Amino acid sequence: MKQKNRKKTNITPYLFIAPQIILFCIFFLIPAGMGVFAAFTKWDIFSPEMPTFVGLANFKEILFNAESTYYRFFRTGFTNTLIFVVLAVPLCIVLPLLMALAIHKKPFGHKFFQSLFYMPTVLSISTVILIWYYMFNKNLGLINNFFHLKTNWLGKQPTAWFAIVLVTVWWTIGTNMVIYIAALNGVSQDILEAASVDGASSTRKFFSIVLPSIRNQLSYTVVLTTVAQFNIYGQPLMLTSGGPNNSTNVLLMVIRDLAFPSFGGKSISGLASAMALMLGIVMIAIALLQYRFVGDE
Amino acid sequence: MKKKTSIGKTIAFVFCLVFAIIWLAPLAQSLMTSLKAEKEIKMSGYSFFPQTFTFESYTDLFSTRSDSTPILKWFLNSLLTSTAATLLVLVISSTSAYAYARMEFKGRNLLFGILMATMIFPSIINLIPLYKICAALHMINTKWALILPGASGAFNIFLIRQFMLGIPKELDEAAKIDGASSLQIFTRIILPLCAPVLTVVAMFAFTGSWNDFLWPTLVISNVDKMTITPGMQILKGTYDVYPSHAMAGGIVSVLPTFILFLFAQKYFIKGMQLQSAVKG
Amino acid sequence: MKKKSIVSMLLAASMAMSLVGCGGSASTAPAGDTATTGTEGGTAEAAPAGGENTIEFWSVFTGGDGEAMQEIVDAYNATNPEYKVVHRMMAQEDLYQNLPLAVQSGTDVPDLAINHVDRLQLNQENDIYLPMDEYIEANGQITADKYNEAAWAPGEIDGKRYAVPLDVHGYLTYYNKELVEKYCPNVLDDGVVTFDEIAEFAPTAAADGVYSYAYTWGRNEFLEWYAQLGGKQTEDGTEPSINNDIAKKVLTDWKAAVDNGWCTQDGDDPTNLFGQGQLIFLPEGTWMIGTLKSMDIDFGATYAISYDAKKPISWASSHQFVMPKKEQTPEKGKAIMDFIAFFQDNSLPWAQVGQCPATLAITQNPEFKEMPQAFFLDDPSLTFISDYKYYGYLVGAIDSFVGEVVFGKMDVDEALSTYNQQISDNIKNQ
Repeated sequence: MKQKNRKKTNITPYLFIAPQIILFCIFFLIPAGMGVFAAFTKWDIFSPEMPTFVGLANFKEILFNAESTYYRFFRTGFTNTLIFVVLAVPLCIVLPLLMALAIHKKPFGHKFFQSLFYMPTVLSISTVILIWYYMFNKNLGLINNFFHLKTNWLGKQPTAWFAIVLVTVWWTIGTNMVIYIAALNGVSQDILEAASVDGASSTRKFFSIVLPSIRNQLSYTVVLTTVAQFNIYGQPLMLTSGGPNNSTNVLLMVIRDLAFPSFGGKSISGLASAMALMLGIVMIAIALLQYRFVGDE
Repeated sequence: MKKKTSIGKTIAFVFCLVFAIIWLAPLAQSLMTSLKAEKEIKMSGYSFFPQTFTFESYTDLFSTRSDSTPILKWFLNSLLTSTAATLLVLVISSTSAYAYARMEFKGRNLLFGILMATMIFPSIINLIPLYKICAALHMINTKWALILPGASGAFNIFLIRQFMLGIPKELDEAAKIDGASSLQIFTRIILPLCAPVLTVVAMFAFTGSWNDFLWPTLVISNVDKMTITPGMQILKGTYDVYPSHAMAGGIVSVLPTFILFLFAQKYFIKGMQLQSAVKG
Repeated sequence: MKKKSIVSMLLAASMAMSLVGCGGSASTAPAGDTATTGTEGGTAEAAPAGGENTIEFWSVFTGGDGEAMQEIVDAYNATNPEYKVVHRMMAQEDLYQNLPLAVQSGTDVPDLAINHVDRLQLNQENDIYLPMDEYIEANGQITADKYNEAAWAPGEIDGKRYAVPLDVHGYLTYYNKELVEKYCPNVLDDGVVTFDEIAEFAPTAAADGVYSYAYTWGRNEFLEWYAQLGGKQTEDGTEPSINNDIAKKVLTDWKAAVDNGWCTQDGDDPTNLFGQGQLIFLPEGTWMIGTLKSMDIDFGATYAISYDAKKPISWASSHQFVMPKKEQTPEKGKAIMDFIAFFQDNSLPWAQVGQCPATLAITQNPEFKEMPQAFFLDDPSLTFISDYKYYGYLVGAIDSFVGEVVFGKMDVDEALSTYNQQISDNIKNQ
C-alpha cells in the first residue's frame, strides 16, 4: 500500500520544485555556463552574431600583453579592488565588534544605538551616496565646514579611499554588528563570572573567553564580508567616478564599461568576461581558503 | 564591582554617542539641504540650517519640473517590482523548500547539493550573459527583467528548508491519514507555521529588490520605467545644479525601506542572526 | 499573537500589491507608465510603431527640451498634415541602445529620429540609416543654403545625405558683468577674452580670491582650445592623433593657470562660484542659460576664451534628423521632409530653451537676436563640430585624463601616450 502510494505521488515533488528549477536554469545555470564560455570568445552582446571562439587570447591580452590598454585596465581594476578589500574588511569586522561590545554593556539608549547603527543597511547604495556625496563637497560640505578645511576629499588620495571606506563602513557594518550582539548574548555568563573571581582582566577575558565563543559567527562574517567587498562597485562609481588618476577605478567598473559601453562603440564582452572569470576565481579561492583556515582551528 | 560596571557603561555610552553623531550627520545635512531654496545654496554659501525653511523641493517632486527625473514614477515602479519580486520569491522558495524538506524523490540530494554549491558562484560571471538572455526573451526595459532573474536564489530555499525540518513530522502524518493532499498539507499546515522565516525571507527579498543597483542600470534604460535606486544615480547628476532637489529626492527614496525597518526591525535583526546561526 | 498579526498583515499587503504589479505588467501598459509619452520601441510588447498615416519620431529630449520639441510637433500637427507626427521622447542612452536593435530586428523602427552629429559616421557605417536624397529632391524645400554651414556639412557621407541638422549647441563663455567691470573693463570690447589678457588681470583677481576662468567640462574646453591651435583629432580619419605638442601645450598652460590660482581648483563647483561672485568667466553650455537666469546675476555670454583674438573657435555639437533604415514609401518620405522643413520657420520654441536652431531663417528673427546665445550662429567658421568617426572613444579617453593632468595628478606625456593608445585599442576591437 505504502509502496504504491509513493509511486503514484512521484510526480508531485517535481511539480513543487519545477518553478524554481526552471527559473534557476534560465537565469542562473545557462548564463553561468555562457559566462565561462564567453571568456574564451570575442563577443559583442548587442549584435545578433554569435561569439567567436578565440581560445586563450583574452587571458593572454589581459594578463601578459603589457602594451595593451586592456592589460592596463585589468591590472588597475584588480589592484584597486584588492586595495579596497584590504582597507575595508578589517574595519568592517573590528568596528562592529566594538559596537556590539559597547551595546552589550547596555548603556543608556542602547536600543536606540542598535537601531541607528543598523539602519543604513536597509538603504540602497545610490541613496547612501546621494546623502554622503554632499558631505564631502569641497565648499558646501559639512566636513570641510565643520573642521574649517579646504580638502578636496574625493579628488585626491588617500582621502578618496578614506571617503569610500567610510561610506562603506557606514552603510554595511550594521549587519555584522547585530550578528555579534546575538553571539555575545550567547557567551556563557558562568564562565565569565568564574574568570572574574579568578582575577582575570577584561582584556584577558575578551581574548580567552569571548572571542573563542563567538568564533563561528566571526568566521562567517569574515568570509561573507570579504566576498561582498570584492563586489565593490557603486561607491567609487558614484563618489569618485574611478578617480583620481584611476586609483579607485575598480574591476567591476572596468568590466561594466567594456561589456556595456556607455558612449558608442561595440561591446567588448569577451575580454570583459575573461576579467569577470578571473575575479570570480579569486573570490571562490579566497572564500574556500577562509573556510579551510577557519575549519582548521 | 558595581563601580566598575558603571565606568564600563559610561565608556560604552560615549563610544556609542560618538558613532551616533557620525551616523546621523549625513542624514541631518541631507534633510536640512532639502529644506533650503536652491537659490539660497547657490548665492550664500554654506550654512547647516536653512535661512528660510521651504518645502519647495518636495512639492517640485510632484510637478512637471521633475520630468527628466520622475521620482514619483520611479517610486511606483519600485513598489510594483519589489512587491512582485517578493511574492514570487516566497512562492517559489517555499514550494521547493517544502519538497526538499518533506518529500522523497529521486535525485533530491543531488539537486539540493547542486543548489547549495551554486551559492558560492560569484554573480559577476553570469552578469553579461544574463543580459543577453533577457534581451533574447524581450525583457529589456520591462519589469520582468527585474523580477524573474533574482527569484531563483538558492539561499532562501536553504533557509526555509532548515526551518521546515524543525517542524514535527507527526503533523503532516496526521493530516495525510485524514486524506489531505501534499498541496493541502503544504498550504494549510506547513506554510502557516513557517510564517516567521517567510517574513524574514520576504523582508530581505523586498529590500534586496528595492536596493538593487547594477542590474537595473543595465536592463532599464528608459527613464520612465526606471526604479528608484538607479534613478537616484541620475538624480545625483543634477547635484551641481539642484542640490536641494536631489536631497529631497533622496529623502523620499529612503522612506519605504526606512518605514519597513522601523516597524519590522526586530525581524531584520532576527533574520540576520538566524542566517549567521544557520551558516556559522 | 502580535507577531502573527504583523506577519499576516505584511503578507496580505505584499500580496495585494503584487497582484496589482503582475496584472499591470502582464497587460499592455503598467500603471506607472500610462501617464507618460512612452509607448516605447525596442520591446516586443510595445505598441506597434504608429499607424499607416503617422510619422514615428524618436527624440533624445527630455525635460524642458522635450517640452519645447513637443510644442513644435503640436504646432506642425495643427497644420493638418497628411501624416501626423508621433513624438517619442527618451533618454539619449535609451535611443542609442534601442535604435540599432530595432533596425536589426526590423520591427518597430521609427520613421525619423534625432542623433548627435558625432554619431553619424559610425551609425552610417553600421548601416542604421536610410539616405535621404531621394525624398529631399522630391520635396524640394530642404536645401543647403537654408542651413548653418557647420551643422549641414557633416550630414553628407560618401556623397549621400544622411542627416539634416536641427540645431547647433555649444560651449560659450558666460561672464559676470560686475566682475568684468572691476578687473578687466575693456577686455570684451572685441567680444573675445584671450589667454594673454587673462594673464594680465588674473593675478589681481586671484589676490582677491576671485578666479578668472573655470574648469567645467574638461573635454569640451580641451577640444576647443586644441582646435584653436590647429590640433587635429585624427589625421587619416581612423587613428586618433592627440599625442602631440599642441595637446601638451593646452594641458600645460591650463595646469599652470590652475597652479597660479587663475583657474578654479579641483573639486570646485564653478556654477556656484559664478553665482557667488567668485568667478569672472564661466565656460559652459548654451543649455545652462536657464539655470543662470534663475540666479540673479548680471551676466552676458560671448565666444570661447581664446589663444587668438581673431579665432575664438568654440566647441559645438548638433542634433540631426536621421531616417532609420526601413522600407519607406516615397509619399511618406516626402511627408517626413515636410516636417523637417517646418522647422525652418517655426523653431523659436527651440531657441527659447537655449539652443541655436540650425536654420538660417531664425537668425533674422528679432526675438532670437535678443537671446544671449544668438551670436553663436554669426560665424559658422568659429563653431567647431567634430565628425570624427570614433569621437565616442576619443571623448571617453579625454574624460579620463584632462582633469587628472590639469589638477596635477597625472603626467602629461604619459597621459597623452596612454590614452591615444587606448582609443587606438578601442578601435581595433570594433
